[in-house]
Amino acid sequence: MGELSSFAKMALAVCFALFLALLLGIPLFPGWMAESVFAGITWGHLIMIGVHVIPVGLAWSYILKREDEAA
Amino acid sequence: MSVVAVSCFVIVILVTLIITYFAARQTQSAADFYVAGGRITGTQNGLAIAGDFMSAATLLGTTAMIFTSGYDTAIYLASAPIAFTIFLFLMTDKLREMGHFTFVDILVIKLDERPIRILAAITALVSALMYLMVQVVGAGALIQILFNIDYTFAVILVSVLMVTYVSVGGMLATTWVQITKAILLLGGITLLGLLTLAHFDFDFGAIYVLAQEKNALSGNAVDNLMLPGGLDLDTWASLSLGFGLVFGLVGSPHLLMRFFTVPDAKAARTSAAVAMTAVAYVGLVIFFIVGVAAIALLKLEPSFLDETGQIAGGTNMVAVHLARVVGGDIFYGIMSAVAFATILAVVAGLTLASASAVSHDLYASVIKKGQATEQDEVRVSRITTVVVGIIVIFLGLAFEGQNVAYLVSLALAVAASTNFPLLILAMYWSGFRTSGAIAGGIVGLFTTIVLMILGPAVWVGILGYSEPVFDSAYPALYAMIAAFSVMIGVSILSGRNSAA
Repeated sequence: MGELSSFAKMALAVCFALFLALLLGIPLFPGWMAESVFAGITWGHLIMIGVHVIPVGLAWSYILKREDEAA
Repeated sequence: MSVVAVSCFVIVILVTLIITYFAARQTQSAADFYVAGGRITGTQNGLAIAGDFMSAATLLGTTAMIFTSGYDTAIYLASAPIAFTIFLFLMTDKLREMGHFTFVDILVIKLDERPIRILAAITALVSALMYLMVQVVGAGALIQILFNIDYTFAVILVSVLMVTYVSVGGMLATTWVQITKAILLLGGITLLGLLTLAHFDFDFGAIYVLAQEKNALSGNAVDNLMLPGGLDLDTWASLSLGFGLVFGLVGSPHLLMRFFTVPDAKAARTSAAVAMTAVAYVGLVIFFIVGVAAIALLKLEPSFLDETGQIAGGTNMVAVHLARVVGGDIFYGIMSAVAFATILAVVAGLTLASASAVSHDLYASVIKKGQATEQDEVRVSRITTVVVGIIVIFLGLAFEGQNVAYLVSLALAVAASTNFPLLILAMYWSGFRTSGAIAGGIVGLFTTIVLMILGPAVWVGILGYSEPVFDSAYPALYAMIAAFSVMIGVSILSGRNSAA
């Protein structure tokens, strides 16, 4: 794994942390997951948005970064 | 049977056959057949991967699961972007650097070729065939319901089309069928989301208020729509389900193979990012709009219930019923055709992966020891495609009415506990040895199959015993731990022995 860039390691850590929050939140903290944060949006909804949007943002940032490095 | 639905269905078949005809004219060599000559662009391949990945389970299955089990469906939907994160950050560069036609090419760089190709071809074939069987069982039931066609005829129709695409047009036809399907699915799900919002005058909150009321009245185990618990998962089951889905997708031969169809690593990275964007978008629309609207508009509505009080055609049909409510008969026909195109694209990709495992890994590399001509290899691939088609027809007929969700999880569990550990250790651990790979691969494969047979799905559900021997329906994590432990342990021991 030593050949992975620090950005790739950070991205993997962030995405897995979000996924683990979902996997552990469902059985261990269901009440917290269903708690409203604002306007009816719950913590469970926010995790679900994060686990879909953040990987996409990190993916395109990584691609742009690699293109910059290659240029 | 809707005239619009039949027309859309016929158009989908005609368009895909025309694509196959033109692709066949450009397919000359083994590289053309397996990986479209490496000429697919990153964006095209990203759409094709999205098309290959999003099976009928994505559109129909997850909507149905939100309808019946609520929030917990998030695990199924969230596994896709996480799987593509692993593809992008851990695997694309290595796949392009080390592979040619199949993921096994990477394993044999460091490990002994003959035993590894045999093992990996078997695990690839087992997981692809099981996944194929699931798709064909689902396709047969779907077409039977949508178009009132006999199940046997529906299974034969899907199998004949899949054999035609792959044996005639190879990877190029498969790619363009998958791209067409991905565009249809992205367009269809966008339109379904917009029409659903329009049905509620674009008042997003109104969908949730009505869904919450219907959900509370329907007698579900979890009466609060936002409260997890619908799948009744304990901590270990939740982790095992999530890890099995993510690493099973990453170890799926039909998805791995797609990264060899582009010219370089840059295009492979773009492919992963485009695919991730597409599946994340579809997942969000299904989770936040389509699934919740299905609860709001279909639950407790007598016009969508059969004589037993269940959703007509089964809960897998809720996405299509929703299309009829918000878009009328024409949109119902279009979404039915999209669902059909979805199945065709996935079975084509799986068939090609199965054919490659036999022709490239077993025939050309093991039996002919690298001496087979390209024509021979492609010929064996085409023959294998026909044989796979025949096997799939029999499996589809034998498993009619079986619970396809468990079969999917078994197929992914096999990939997660064999292909994924083999690949990741071959890519990143210099101490990996052939003996460890073989021992761990066999342990992973057998652990998955034995635990699934002893678990509640097969032991109780199919064999009829009152209590399962193994108390979890999700064996992936156990099998992955066993496979990794044996692969690492045996490799270390054999490394010490050879050093001594």
